[in-house]
Amino acid sequence: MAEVSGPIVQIEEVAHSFGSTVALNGVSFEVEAGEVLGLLGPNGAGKTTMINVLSTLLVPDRGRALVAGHDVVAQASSVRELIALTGQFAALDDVLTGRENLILFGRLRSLSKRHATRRAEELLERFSLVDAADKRVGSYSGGMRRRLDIAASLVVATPVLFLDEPTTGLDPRSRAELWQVVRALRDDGLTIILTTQYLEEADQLSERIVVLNHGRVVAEGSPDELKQLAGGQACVVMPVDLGQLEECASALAPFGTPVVDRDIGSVTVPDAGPGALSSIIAHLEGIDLTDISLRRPTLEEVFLQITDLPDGP
Amino acid sequence: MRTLAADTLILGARSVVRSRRNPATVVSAFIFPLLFFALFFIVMRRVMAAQGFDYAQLLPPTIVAQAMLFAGMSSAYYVAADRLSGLTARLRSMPMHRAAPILGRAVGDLVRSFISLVPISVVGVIVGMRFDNALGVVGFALVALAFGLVASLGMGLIGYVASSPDDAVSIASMPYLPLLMLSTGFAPVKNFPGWLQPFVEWQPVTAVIDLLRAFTGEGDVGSTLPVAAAWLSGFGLLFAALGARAFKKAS
Repeated sequence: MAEVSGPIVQIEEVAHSFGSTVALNGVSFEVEAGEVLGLLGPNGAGKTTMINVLSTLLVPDRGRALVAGHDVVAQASSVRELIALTGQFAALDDVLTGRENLILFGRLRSLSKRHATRRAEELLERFSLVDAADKRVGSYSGGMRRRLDIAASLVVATPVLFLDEPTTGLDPRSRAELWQVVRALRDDGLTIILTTQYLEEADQLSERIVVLNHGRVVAEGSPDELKQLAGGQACVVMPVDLGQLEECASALAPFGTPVVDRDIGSVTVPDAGPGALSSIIAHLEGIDLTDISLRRPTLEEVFLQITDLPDGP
Repeated sequence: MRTLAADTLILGARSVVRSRRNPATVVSAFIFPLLFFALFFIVMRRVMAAQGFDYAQLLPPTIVAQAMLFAGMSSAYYVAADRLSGLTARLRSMPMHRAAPILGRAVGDLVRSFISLVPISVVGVIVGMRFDNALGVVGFALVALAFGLVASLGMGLIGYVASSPDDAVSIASMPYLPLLMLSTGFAPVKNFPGWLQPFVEWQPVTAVIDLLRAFTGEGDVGSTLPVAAAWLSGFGLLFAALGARAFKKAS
């Protein structure tokens, strides 16, 4: 693999609809060689459609996408030599063993029988699947299937790897194991595009995040930049007496712009800043509270906030 | 072409391993045709004899054709299953020949076809079927397997469009009975209504059964071979091309 300078994946104004449903509505972004890019978004945002376009499974209605300079439509077979896809559902043969699956995909990638067998052994070791190597994949746990699924994408070294929701449906322990796997691949220098619904996951694994919503890029940047965009910690105060809501609001004015919610009976300061809690409590002296809390914005709030921006970023 | 041959064999080997691990597949491939054979033979032999037909000679090719169509139906099931499991998507993202999956499926099914073919032929010979000569045996086997291959390719196409594996089998069972019953397998052409006779006489299953019978001395190989060969190679190429196209567009 020759050293690629500049972006290894380029996406320009890609649009695609399924019937009347618009999945992608003019998406553009680039991925540098060796970068891990998180494609973040809620269900139906267009993440999988984007991955399917990049992995030559879907011809988009408009726009173009290049992998190492090759067009995913016009030069699909060249692109397939450069990419590996781990889709949303573990794409394995349940009746074959883990080892047989790896050998199968190695052989289909033109490895000799001996080479494919040796490569399978290496991958089984690397992904801690040696004990289960000769058991049928149908008997694997969700985490093991996922690991094998990723291993099957690594039988030959392709420079670009797509991981579509690699941890969806996994228990916390398997998720943590999988994060380790992705970090190790990043350290190997692979370019990875991974999709996720979880801000935390995108934060943990990727150097850069592209947020998709309704088929559009609504934000793009490093995890820290995105958190800035979404605001820091919010402080929520709930007085016992709802008549004191306004009083709370004016007491909190020095910390930001308080938002009063009469239905819930709360006053929220969206970006209270670190260490504000003790001074907030001091300012609220004389008001009885049922609750006061600091919390990070939820993913939902991040999306809401980002999608509420009038003209996008 | 190298990758087409190699990938087809690799995927064919995979489906053989799968069948081997599913003993029910093997048992049904062996038992079902024998069951049909026995039932038809017991029920119809005397009726046919009264009309001057030697059923031991006429029936085995029909049962072979039936078994090959039946084996092909499993191809519809497995193609749909691979598509729904996401395996097909992974294969589509890999640099392999687009016709390899359907051809691999069909080549793998040859083992199953062979498992059906042997007991039918052996029992056929036991009850009185005779081959012309050694060439007849080879021709009989090759034509049977070629028909199995084409049936599996055709049925496999259904797996690319069906919404589930079970759905695929239901759809695949629809052409199966008419093709088999409206052939010379169970009755001569003249016994069908006049408007149906041209179809019965020229449809591919008739061509295959007539050629199989010719190898057992019931008919002329020289006149039946070109028709069967044209049907088999024509449909084989057509189905493989459609299979490659369906794979390209599979979702």
